[in-house]
Amino acid sequence: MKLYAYFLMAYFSLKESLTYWKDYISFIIFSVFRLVLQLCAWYALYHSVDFSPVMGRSYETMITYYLVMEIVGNFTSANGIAGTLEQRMSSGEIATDMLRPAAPRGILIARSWGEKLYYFIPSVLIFFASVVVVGGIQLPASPGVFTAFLLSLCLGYLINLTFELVMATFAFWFVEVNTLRWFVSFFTALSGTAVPLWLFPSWLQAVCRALPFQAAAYIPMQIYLGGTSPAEIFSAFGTQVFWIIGLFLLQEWLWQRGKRRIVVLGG
Amino acid sequence: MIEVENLRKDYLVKGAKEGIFSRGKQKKRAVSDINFTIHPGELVGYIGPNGAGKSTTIKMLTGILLPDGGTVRIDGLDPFHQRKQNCRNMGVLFGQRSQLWWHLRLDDTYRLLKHLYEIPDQQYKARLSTLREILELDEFWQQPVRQLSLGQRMRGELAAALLHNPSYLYLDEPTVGMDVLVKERIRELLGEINRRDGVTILLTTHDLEDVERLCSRVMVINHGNLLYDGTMAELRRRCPADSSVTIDIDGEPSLPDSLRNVKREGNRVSFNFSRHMGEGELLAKVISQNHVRDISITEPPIEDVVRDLYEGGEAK
Ligand SMILES: Nc1ncnc2c1ncn2[C@@H]1O[C@H](COP(=O)(O)OP(=O)(O)OP(=O)(O)O)[C@@H](O)[C@H]1O
Ligand SMILES: [Mg+2]
Repeated sequence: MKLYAYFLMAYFSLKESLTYWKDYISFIIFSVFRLVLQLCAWYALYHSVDFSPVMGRSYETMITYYLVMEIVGNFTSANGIAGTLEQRMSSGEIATDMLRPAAPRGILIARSWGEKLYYFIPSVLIFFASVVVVGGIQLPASPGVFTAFLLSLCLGYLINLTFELVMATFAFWFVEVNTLRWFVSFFTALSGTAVPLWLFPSWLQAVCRALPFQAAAYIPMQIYLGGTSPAEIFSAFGTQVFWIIGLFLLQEWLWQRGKRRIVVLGG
Repeated sequence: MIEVENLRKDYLVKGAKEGIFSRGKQKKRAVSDINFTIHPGELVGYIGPNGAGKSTTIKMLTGILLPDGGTVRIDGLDPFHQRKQNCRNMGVLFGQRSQLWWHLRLDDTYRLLKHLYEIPDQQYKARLSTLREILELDEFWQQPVRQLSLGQRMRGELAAALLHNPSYLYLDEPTVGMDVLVKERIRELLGEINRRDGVTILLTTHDLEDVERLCSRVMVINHGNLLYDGTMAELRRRCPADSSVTIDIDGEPSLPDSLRNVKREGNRVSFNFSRHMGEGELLAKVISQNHVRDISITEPPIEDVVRDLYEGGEAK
């Protein structure tokens, strides 16, 4: 079955990533360090004065936000697809993908799953370890809310995926430019993975709501934390689906125009 | 059947800097309106100096590069716009690029290819064991690809290109960096695949021995123009490179003055002559005027023939 080939590619790319196990260790150490730093900062803030009114949420909610975001952020992230395409184009390796009776984007996505798993596994471990260390976190109000959270999480991944594919098409026009990376990292600030968006001034929150980034990670996070009515949950799904369709059409359009420009380098 | 009509490719390259702002893109023609047809079962050599446009042509034939003009049809398919369909029936090997998974073992890549090309189990097993045997892959079967030597890797690459039993095989410098023995084995193998399975092969190379030993037909390209398309023998015949003649003569030789490069060593005389310049009569004259005991003619090395062509010699 053809689909199995894509799973194999994901598996192989995970296997290949694991040959760089030294990178892996430094990645894990870095992740733990970042999380500890964030938790310590909030601990210090909340325990110097009563910060709850300022932050709008309790200390427990804040801690829950950061720990669950560790999972949400990593799960919904589709980082690296654009970078991989750019790199495969500039090295000419894109040729091998195009010589197969398969969709080049499918290959890119499958490969990214391998890398995704590579980062996701330690983040799950770090999550559970941290939950134990801080002595528990808030749980979703009901199984229904939890299901909605999971669904919204998957939609969140699709938003990031289609957005990343839009970014990837830029490689057709700027093969020699590496502007993609900082462009992406600029937007992660607006996605809610680093700072809860309710802390932003209201005008910035409005800007965020007009962009797809918060719909990927921040929406599932809000559903998790509760306080959203069923109607609000459905409208949140609507927002997510809207972005998925819009970004999907955009990347399809860009891809069809861009693929004619592919210049397979080398040889 | 591979049908190529008026095929053209222009690359955009940065123009020379004139002033501060005007640094527009310039078109550089890599392949210039070439035409050829390759019939099923042919084994064609595609040669030309560096930068002639060989790889560019192969990329267009394999559907990874969109031509700027003209058409390519492989069994009626457009390789760029019907890429997936065309892919199923072709094997490709780019000598300086790997299609194997670098950190994994050979059989991992093959397993993936099995599923990508949807090769049935039985057929896959049979094919793989044949390839393992003729390409002698067993000695490095367990090693990750990154640890293979160049020649070993190329054998692995060749197996990857042939696994799904394609009817068309495109090889861009398949023998680059191989030792004499491996080269010889690869040549034998390609010949066998071509004869036994009827696979149509188009091969570019800088090693003219590959072409001499393998190809019934050769195409020469330079500066994007197809300079020659025909048999190897015909290529030799048309080119002005010199053959050398050695004659053993009884008695005192009598030689025409117009002979070139005459050397004498007792009764043995040698001189150069060129079929191209119609020096046949001269040779006939030497033979009729002397009592010839023995004669041998050495054809010019194929490198000389091709060098003349590359340097703008006027074949065609
Ligand atoms: N991506 C590219 N951008 C601009 N020019 C290119 C590009 N690729 C190839 N060229 C130019 O096109 C011409 C043909 O290149 P090509 O790679 O087809 O040569 P080749 O016959 O394969 O040479 P070689 O024997 O050295 O591999 C060369 O002059 C090369 O500089
Ligand atoms: Mg080349």
